[in-house]
Amino acid sequence: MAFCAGLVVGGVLTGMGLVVVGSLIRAPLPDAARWTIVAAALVPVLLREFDVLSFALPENRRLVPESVFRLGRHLGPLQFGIEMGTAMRTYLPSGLPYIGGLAVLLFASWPLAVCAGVGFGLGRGLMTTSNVRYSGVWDAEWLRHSRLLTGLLSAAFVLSLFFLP
Amino acid sequence: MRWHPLTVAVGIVLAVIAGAVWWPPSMWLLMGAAAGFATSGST
Repeated sequence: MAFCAGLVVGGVLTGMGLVVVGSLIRAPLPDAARWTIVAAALVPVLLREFDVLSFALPENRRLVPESVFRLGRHLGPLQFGIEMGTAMRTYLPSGLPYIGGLAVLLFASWPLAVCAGVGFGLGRGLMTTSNVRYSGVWDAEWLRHSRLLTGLLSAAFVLSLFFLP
Repeated sequence: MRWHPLTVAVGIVLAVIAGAVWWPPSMWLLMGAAAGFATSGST
């Protein structure tokens, strides 16, 4: 529970940071230019998701250290969650969060950035909560259906981008 | 919860479709959720 709360807090922190930076960047750019930037970044990332293209995206390629658990039963998982929720302190196996971050950077108001951050944290939390109690090997199921999962999640992501208010 | 990854992914897709029709502001939350859940695979 504390871990999932941390994921949400981490996502919100990143969203708010992106709005601060974005409010400086987006001012001189018209809507059309900002959407062009998002679309131009989205295409190669989608091709990367489907293994058509291969390139590295910036990520902190390390695991969150186990030392976070020194903080105790609740604060340790909370910090662990926050670090994972920011998406900046560990591996990021998908490129979709980068495009989500770009959309927040270029378009989101404060409340909408919070929504995106909460959604990101909940999305990461869904993995944890469904994985822990799953009767089989959840990660093996993910690998087995990875192509279909990539298609479904990319479709959901792109569709949500199209309908952003 | 004991959800299969495909169950979660289909749920997100359906939520996006429903949100697009009935409540567009939820798109920000669902965009984040799709991106967040997409990071569930191992590297």
